[in-house]
Amino acid sequence: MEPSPENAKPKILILATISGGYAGADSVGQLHTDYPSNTYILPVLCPSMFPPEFYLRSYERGIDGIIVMYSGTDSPYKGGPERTAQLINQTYPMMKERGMDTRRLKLAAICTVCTKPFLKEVRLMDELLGGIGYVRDEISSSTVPEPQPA
Amino acid sequence: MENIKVDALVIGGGIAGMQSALDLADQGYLVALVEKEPSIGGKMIALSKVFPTLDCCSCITTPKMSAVAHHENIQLFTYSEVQSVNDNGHGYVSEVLKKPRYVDEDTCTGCRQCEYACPIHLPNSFDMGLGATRAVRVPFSTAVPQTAVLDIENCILCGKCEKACPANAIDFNQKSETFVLETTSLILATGFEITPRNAKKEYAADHIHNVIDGLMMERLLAPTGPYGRVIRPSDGKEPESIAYIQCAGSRDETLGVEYCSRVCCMYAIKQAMLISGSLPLADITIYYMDIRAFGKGYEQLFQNARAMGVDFVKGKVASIKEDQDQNPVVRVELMDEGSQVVERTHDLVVLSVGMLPAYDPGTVYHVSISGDGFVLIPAPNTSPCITDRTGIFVTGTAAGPMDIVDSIVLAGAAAAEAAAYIETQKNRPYLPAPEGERLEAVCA
Repeated sequence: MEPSPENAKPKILILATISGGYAGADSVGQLHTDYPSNTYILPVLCPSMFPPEFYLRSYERGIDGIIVMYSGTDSPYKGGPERTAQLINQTYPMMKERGMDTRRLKLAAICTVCTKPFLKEVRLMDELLGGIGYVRDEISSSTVPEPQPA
Repeated sequence: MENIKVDALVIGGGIAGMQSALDLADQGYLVALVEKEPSIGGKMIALSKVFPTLDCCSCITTPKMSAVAHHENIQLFTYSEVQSVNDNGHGYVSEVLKKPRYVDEDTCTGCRQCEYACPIHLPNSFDMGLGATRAVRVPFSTAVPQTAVLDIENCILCGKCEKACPANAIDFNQKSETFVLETTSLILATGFEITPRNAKKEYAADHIHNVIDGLMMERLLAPTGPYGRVIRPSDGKEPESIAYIQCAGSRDETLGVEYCSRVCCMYAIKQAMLISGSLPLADITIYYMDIRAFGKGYEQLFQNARAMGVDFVKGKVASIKEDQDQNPVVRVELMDEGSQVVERTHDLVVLSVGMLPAYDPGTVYHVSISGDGFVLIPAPNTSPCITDRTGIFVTGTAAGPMDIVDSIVLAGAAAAEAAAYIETQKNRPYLPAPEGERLEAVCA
């Protein structure tokens, strides 16, 4: 069902690692704790697999904020956290070029027991998007390059 | 497979073994770490919080697990066991058996699709049997390596995991492998097991569901636990009255465990405080013989627990029976109240079980074992991690009951002793060790 203009809220995409952020999100659910319903959680093995173009295309397709909940130093994948940080850093200038607020993309280390940090990150992003609004108002027209082979 | 040559072999991937391996590897020594379970992490990764600081156990252990797996000087062998150790004159030659996971470690990504497809539900050993798991699974969410393992004993060979795996990593024909490690030094970090919950027949833990042990309560308290909250196993009720029975596996001649396990008082106090947070209205009683709060900050934690309303009752529980509502009823002599014998009903009873040696290293490593079953340390006051066999060191609870703080301290000491020994052995001429030579116990 399409949300009506009155109850529509900016959408938040969360990339959560299975060994970290996704288990943290699961813990939040088990605690029956509330968090904004405009969140879409995607379990991933390691966000180092996602190129900057993924984030740009997500914004083009209606996602207004993205939180990458990676495992930080807890990551079981060698080099994963460093690579993820590099990719996020590469994304910021590309967002700026397109006139986007870089606060729409955030990298956060969330572990399996990080229920409070999880809730805090989601709340902060929700509040931010409540202030700066939809991404479509920032990028009326833009072109996103095709992902380059690794 | 070719022989693997390293400076040190660490046996056991718990907190002590990981710390020793990291301390040696950071100094530039090549280390092999052998762990018998499918993941490193040991007992500590299953705990909720550490005492006395109440810091998150997972937050301390997981970065160390990742560091071990990613360190360029550490080779990690999980699901493997050392079969034999022989002195070759220059060091030790260890034969290691790598058990079959029935999953290709090189191609498995830990995506868990096999786990989701598996139709077999089994008690989850990581949750101390409280939750459920599958016949093929990644051992737990923060397991290192993130590789599935297939329990062939309980598998019905339906092939659903094989079809679900996007990497074609399931291999039902996998066989065990044996390889050889050549090392200068060994560190034993084989850890401990807890006293079986049913060891004390008077406590009837075999048939009273609501009598659990300390590690089960750890899982109930952990955010990653089976239920996400503290409920009692029999009916899922939130307990309003919880009792701890101290020395339920230690200081007990009837069990053959005469020593104090050194951690039970403190973990009971810690858990009581955590329960006070998650179940603020619950009454918590700790039946004790003595409270041994000996470490830095431990006495303060004890006093804080008393101030929070935890009821400390001096008395040894004689027996437990069950009433018609599945409530455990404890029979206890109240020593501070005229030694009257009373029966008290609780919703849940937690046995503060003690530590037993996990493994007898005497048969494989030919080190001596002391009377309590832990590795003998000939000079405990001056060399607390040196065994009676040259070049073999011991750390953590393989040496005797100790808490996490002491395990980490001893792990650093064992790494330092091993490093010093490795240096003395460099460029040493061939010199076979005399058979049967032992260091004498000098500080009995």
